[in-house]
Amino acid sequence: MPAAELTALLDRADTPAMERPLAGAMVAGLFPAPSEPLDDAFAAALDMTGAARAENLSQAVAAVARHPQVGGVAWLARNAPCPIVSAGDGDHENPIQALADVQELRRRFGTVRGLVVILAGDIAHHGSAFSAIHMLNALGAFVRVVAPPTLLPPEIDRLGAEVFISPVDGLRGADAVLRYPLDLERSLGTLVPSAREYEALYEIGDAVPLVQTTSASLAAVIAACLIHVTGEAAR
Amino acid sequence: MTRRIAYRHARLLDPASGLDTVGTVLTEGGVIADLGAGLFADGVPDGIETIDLRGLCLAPGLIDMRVAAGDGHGYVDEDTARSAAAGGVTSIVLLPPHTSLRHSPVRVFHYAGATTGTGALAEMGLAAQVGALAFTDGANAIADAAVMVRVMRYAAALGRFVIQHPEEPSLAAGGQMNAGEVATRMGLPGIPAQAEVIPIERDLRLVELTGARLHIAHVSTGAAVDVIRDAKRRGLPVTCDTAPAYFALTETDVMGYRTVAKLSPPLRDEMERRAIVEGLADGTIDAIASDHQPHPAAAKDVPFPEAASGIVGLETLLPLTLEMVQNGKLPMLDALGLLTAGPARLLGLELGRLAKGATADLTIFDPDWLWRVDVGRFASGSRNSPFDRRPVTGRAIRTVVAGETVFTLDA
Repeated sequence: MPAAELTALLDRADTPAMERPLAGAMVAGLFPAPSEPLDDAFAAALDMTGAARAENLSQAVAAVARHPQVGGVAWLARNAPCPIVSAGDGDHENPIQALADVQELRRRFGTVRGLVVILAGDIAHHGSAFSAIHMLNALGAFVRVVAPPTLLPPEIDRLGAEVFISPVDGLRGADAVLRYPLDLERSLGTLVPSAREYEALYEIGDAVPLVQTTSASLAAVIAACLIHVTGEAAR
Repeated sequence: MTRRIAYRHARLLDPASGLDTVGTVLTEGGVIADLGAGLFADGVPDGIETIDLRGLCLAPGLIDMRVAAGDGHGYVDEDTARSAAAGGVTSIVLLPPHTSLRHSPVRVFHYAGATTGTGALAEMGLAAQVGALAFTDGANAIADAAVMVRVMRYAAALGRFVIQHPEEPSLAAGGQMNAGEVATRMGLPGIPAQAEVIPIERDLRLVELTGARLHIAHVSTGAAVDVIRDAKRRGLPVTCDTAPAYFALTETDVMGYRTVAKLSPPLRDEMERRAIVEGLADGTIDAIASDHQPHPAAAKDVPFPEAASGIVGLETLLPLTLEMVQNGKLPMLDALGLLTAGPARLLGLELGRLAKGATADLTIFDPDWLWRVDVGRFASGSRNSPFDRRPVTGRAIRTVVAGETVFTLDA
């Protein structure tokens, strides 16, 4: 996504007084696995835009969808009768979460251009980390990933992220940290040896401010994306 | 009376003998009775049918040594043999579980299973009695080294060879495409090139141990070509093939989650593609097989990780091979040899040559016919080809099996 489009989306998400532009329209939310934060944010986004919840895609002017498999949202978008906002495509992208994270950074620092942003933790299993790498690069931030090698996809540096295994080196001169928690159940013994080793070697301290996204900013981003895609569809 | 047909004014191409001349082939029943530049120079005697080929190429019938007739999960493409004929292919070798096709216009050979899939030896002896040419677990690797040793010893005693799908399962587990930057960008788990060469290196050691003949199917990496080249230099009885996808496409053809370009082994990067071309040019790779794998549309119209691997290839085998002639990578005879004498030799078949007394399996093709692949017009019952819409040059015009025409292009 080009920087101008990203900035437009972020600007829209930052504008709280929206005129319920989707009043009378219906929007579907397709979330195969229940996720409370996502459900709440989606409901809030519906309130903000004035849209009603559609029960199926044929009624909808747009849908917010998450798919457990990589390429699943692209497949859905090819086959769906309306535009799809991706709320997660396997472990590969999660643009709305990343947009919310970037929006949070923008609020705190004014701009993300020139910031040194650390993505720390389980990069490989968080689509929002991939999406954040792309977005932060597009907006002119410097991206570092800090994680044990088993949690880094091959050639991640080619996507525009400087790779650091050690937090001590990675955090030097950094402005902000986005943290991707490790799913211990699925990772212990295969991707990291133990919880205590992970904490001892790779845990990020509080020397650099941690950026955390609120449900409200996620909702604002979903609303902005819905307005964006329906506007495009109408054109 | 036996039917006699003279194919006149043809460019006769026989990779086995190096023949490349304009002339005539005379078939008598199912065999080639005579051929040459001077044959019937003064006219064709009465009683012989004449087919004027007006300068088209006439080669031994193409042999496709790796064809699946179905998806292994109950779907069978009844049009597989018709698809072969339409592609100029006169002999196909089926992967297990299939051993024959109903009403086939082309010759159908088959392999048989090497193991039961649970580590036990399959009934190779019984399969050999009914004509299995070699033993393979098809799209599954024979992963366990001790099992491979037993398979090799048993097959060797039966005078048959073993075909390995070279993939280390633990490295390929969950993998969806070639490992690397493109896979990371797409978010798909990758299969590294090393997953291919590791079992090949192991199996070459087991060839030393057992003395069995080994064939490596569909090599897709430069490392695989390198170790096979070295093994051949050392005199080991090893052969290999590749499929057109591995010299005509790369991993970037998967971008956009194009499930139709999902293969096993996966499409690799441009360096590997060039190494495959190199392996074909220097003779390390013995044959080109289509690796034909029909799937119903529903098996590909799903998210990428759920999609089946494999593409149909019988009708694009010849033009894609000829691309390497057009771009100067292979001489015409060498390219055709990879589809005729090459596979015939390693399969031990008395086919794939133009000679007096040889079987009259012929592929007549126009090397200059520019056309666009259109899966909608395939004779195959399946449409899963990543080559759809690709402009290609060269096309089978007439396919002859045992002296009888089984396909002519109506266009």
